[in-house]
Amino acid sequence: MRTIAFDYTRATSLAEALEAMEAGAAPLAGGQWLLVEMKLGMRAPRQIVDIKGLTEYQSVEVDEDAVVIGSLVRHVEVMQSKALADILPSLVQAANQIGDVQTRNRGTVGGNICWGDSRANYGPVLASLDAWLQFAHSSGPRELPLVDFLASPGKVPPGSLLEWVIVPRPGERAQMRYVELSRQPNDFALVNVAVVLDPDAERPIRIAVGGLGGYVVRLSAAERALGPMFMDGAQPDLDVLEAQVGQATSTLEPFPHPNAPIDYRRRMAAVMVRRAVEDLLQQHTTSVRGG
Amino acid sequence: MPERTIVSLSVNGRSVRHEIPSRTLLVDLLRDTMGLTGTHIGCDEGICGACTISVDGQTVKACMMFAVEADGCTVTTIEGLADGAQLNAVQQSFVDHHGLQCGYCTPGMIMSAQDLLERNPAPTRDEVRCGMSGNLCRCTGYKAVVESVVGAAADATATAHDEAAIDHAGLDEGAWTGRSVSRKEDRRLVMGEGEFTDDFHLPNQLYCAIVRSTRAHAWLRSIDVTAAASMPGVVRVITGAEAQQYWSPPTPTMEAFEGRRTGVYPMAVDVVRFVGEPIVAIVAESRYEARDAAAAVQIEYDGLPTVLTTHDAGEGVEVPKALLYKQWGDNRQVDFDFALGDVDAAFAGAHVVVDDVITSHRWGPVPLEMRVVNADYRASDGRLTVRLSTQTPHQDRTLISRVFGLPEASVRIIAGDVGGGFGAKLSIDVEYIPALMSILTNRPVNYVDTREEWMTSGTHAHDFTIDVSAAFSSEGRILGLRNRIVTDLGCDGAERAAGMAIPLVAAIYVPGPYVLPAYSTRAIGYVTNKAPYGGYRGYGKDLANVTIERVMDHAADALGLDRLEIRRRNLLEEYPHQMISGPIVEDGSIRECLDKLESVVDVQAFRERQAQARTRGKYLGLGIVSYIEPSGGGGPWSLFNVYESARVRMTPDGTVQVFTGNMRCGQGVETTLAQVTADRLGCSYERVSVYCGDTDTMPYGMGASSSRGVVIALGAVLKATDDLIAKLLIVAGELLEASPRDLVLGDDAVMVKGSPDTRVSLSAVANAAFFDPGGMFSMPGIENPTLESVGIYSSPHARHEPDEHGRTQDYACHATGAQAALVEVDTATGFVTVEEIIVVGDVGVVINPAGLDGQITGGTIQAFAGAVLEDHAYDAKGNPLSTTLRDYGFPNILSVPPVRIEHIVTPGSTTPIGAKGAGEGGQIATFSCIMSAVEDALQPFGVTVNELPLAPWKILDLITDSETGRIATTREHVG
Repeated sequence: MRTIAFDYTRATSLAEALEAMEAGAAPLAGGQWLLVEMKLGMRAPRQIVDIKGLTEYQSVEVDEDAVVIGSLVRHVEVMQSKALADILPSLVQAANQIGDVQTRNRGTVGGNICWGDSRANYGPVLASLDAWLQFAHSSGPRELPLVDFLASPGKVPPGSLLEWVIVPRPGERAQMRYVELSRQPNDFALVNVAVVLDPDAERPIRIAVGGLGGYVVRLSAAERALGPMFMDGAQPDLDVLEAQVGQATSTLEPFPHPNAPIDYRRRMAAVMVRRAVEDLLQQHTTSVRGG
Repeated sequence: MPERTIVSLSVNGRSVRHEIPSRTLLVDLLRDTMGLTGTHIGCDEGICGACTISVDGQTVKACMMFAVEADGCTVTTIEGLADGAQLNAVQQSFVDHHGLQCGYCTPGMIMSAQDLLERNPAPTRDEVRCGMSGNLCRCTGYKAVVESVVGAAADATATAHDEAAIDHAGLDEGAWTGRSVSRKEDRRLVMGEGEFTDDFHLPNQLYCAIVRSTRAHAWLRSIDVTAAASMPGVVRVITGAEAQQYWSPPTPTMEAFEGRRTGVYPMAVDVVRFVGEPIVAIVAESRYEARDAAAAVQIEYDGLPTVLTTHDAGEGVEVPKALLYKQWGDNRQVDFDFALGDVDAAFAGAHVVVDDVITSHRWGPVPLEMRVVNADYRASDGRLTVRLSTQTPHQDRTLISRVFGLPEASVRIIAGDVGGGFGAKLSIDVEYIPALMSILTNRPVNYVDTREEWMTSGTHAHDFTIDVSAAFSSEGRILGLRNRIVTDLGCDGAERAAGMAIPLVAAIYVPGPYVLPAYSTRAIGYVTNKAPYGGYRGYGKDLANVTIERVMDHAADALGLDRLEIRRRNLLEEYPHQMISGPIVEDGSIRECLDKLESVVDVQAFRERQAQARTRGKYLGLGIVSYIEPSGGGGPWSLFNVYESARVRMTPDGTVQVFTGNMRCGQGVETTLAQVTADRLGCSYERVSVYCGDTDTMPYGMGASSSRGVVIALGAVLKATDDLIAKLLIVAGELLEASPRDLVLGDDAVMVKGSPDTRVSLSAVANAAFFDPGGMFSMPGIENPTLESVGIYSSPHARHEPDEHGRTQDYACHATGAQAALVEVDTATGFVTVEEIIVVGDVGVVINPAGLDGQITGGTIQAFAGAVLEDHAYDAKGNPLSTTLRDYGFPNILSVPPVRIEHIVTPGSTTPIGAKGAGEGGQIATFSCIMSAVEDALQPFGVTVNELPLAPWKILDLITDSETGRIATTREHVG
């Protein structure tokens, strides 16, 4: 398939990009999903502004409070980042499972988020980490929580450009895990989950689920109910965990799939959360023993 | 900036500058503008990786970038790797390890491998899989790909194919036959110089786009093409109704179902019968403009009731939901029955009767290269040259000449390299449309499917329900079997009859490797409003296998017998053995294969491991089945007759040209025919070249189907070669002053028996034959005195005259084998992990061991993927849901199990050199043994696994349902 005709401009500054977008141009970064949508006729922008030359958004910065990831950082760079591997390992796990080498060489963090698909790998991870997004707009920048943006992309005005992903630094003892269930590696997730365990945090367990519903969801009620189980000295009961998550996901409407039934995918969300937690508990035991 | 833009980039070290439309994909700039056609296109969604190139030192997919994005970049394509004729290490390793078959995915594979090795010079096999997961391959099953990449690593530990594993059964020491020689096909393919149909760009060429039905069954109320016709670049728009005057409905490829012709045209005239059926054709000056115009065509429909299942079509109901072809009176295109032996008595006297209902979803060939046509009609002489991607060039010429009423000699088909066939390219339908557009415009016309077009209107297969009952004695001997095989053939489209015989072959081969004394079968193929059925590797032999093998497992369970033991009690022991349904299994080693498999698997050790694992909540399973692989099939009154032609020429310098009516499509026919011919001529393999695919220069032949290359095509080559040899000996006799009877060929020379120093080189003999003195002077008394000979071969084993029971023998030979699958089922998710598949096969004499393993592995992985991952799913309105490779579940390198292969060699008695067909063995038994293994894994839950696909949600349902009580599948007779 081929795309419809369009005007192409290359932005050399944020101002140029915003100007073009205000005029209705679709931003092109890695293009790994935009091109698919255009070729399959799902999107038909008449103007495209190529933003991948905006070098200011190609870095990862770490300070005391937060990890700030430029929207144009590519997946392959997430995978290779020592800082991210140390501080946000679940983000690196998620990057590793995006598409294939060729896709990861071009696709960007910002593109994956703005794609907005509830199965996108970074969604659950960033939601579980309480990430914020910063957008630029000709009327000035605005920040909002990632989950709010995914639930309602209309919360940022048309013509906004994602600049930064801001992830509050997790506690020293935090553990995190991304797990996805897909028909085969490289495929879109039937369901994907991210879990953060942090006994020092107000919420000792944080759970985000993708692939169910139109956007990534945080299972706040389940987190509150399960919290005490993951505090210091407590003994987690994985059956209770699975049941709670199962209940929390029982009313979500999964993203359409050619043949995977809805009930199955809801049920699998709970199984994946259980596996993620099991993994983390095992890791913890190993590291305690090892230390 | 306007819709056009200027790009400057460096490609393979050359700086180029082009003004192009902004929307030009980088892959189109490389292929169409620059002529770098080694970069291929296999999908529209950036998943197949056939277009992988390097941009600024990183691999990317060239179909997932606009060319403008590469402005200022340094690009390397497959054409940039070799140094002149010198392959680079990765290319050479792919050749050495037989890492390719059709070669369509290969340039992308090599680009990814090159990048991987630059970053990681000594990768593990797992690292190779991770690095190569963005490159899909349909042929190899990925095994040889992994070995090729590992073999290219700096400290290569992989060894080239292990030939010691095969007992050469008395072949000569120096023979080419039996060795894993490098394939003749491979150098051009690894260099990106393959000649696939879309690689040809003719001057003044137009591009064809087709508007297809979005409704499964409807009247065409109105079609508005006015907007499309006036769009930029558009040259001609035509509807099916208007086109009717220029062509006739295609004739079927088989006449086996008389009276059941559809009579439809290649483009719908008034009714559409499946989503994807062509309605309007457009040609324009560019690919892009043709697509733009196609999107502007407006079609209105009046819906008709849709027939989406065999039940809708009439199975088990009084009145079908609708008739697809009113003239038939029902929806049955195939209806076959056969009975022999006293079946009722068998059931009456049975100790145990097993009833099974085995069902499968729709899945099919899905080659990486889709349907591609370059049609070139010249009004000056009325010649129509059609380049296309096909397995059957001669039959296509016959069909195309009939449709357009052109003399057959005025039509020329040229098939270059074919990017995978697997049976899909045995039929044509859309191919008529660009040919028509070329005739109407008097310009060359190019057509390439989009991936969605292939998925929705390319051939599908399977989609069956088999109802089977079998009667067994208390000792576990099968006494009789009844079945009803119902297939959903989809819409027959424009006479795609190439898949029609699948239910028949299934019905005939159900007895398989067992002695069945009484048999009754009915095979019905219904037409429905889904995509057309076509040939697919396995061709019903897989349906037959799953029928008998499921029954064997369940009878064993019912009788408390071991599943292997019941097979041993029923295996045929004496050869030749005539199945009750007709076929004669001429020779083989069914029992030996099963015995060897049992020891290779180490069943005892597995059972211990299985018991251990169960205590840890892990469910392992083992399935073992036997199989026979009929090959070289075909029949009279069809375009798949069981003969083949060849012409063999020795040129004046002594090189050898073999022209065959067989066809290349990845299976290595250029290599295997050359190996055997070289041995027959006593010359080097390098001296022999094999040609196929051009109807103007090849003898009329049947192309590539039914694994017939070494079974039938080889026979024709050898007959021609033997004729040539007789002439060579006469000429050499004159030169050596010896009697031809005292001469032998060998060492690229003709020599006197027992006196090898008295010799003359083949080139000297050839020169003498043509010029010195030449022709009749060199070969006095010889009827055709040049070194050019023709051979026609028909299978001596096939018999198409029915016997007193109406039985025929449609296949040239039968390979035998046994196959095992080891699986693990995750009972929390329902996921089936196939740990390993093990094949012990006897395909007679082995010509090229690495090529053989590639065929078996590839077929095995195709069937594995079909059973576990793939699905041509439809919604309730008949809309196809699997319109992309991703949705379909096309397997990647990370999701396929290892395949281990062992051989037994029993030279075949009914084939040219004792080699039997081997292209489909992997496909035939794979899903049977996986189903058996999954059932074995879930034995504690008491479930029956009779349904494909083995999708995780279905497996989980089985486990859940088992808690509400096991469904009885057997009934025991008392007394």
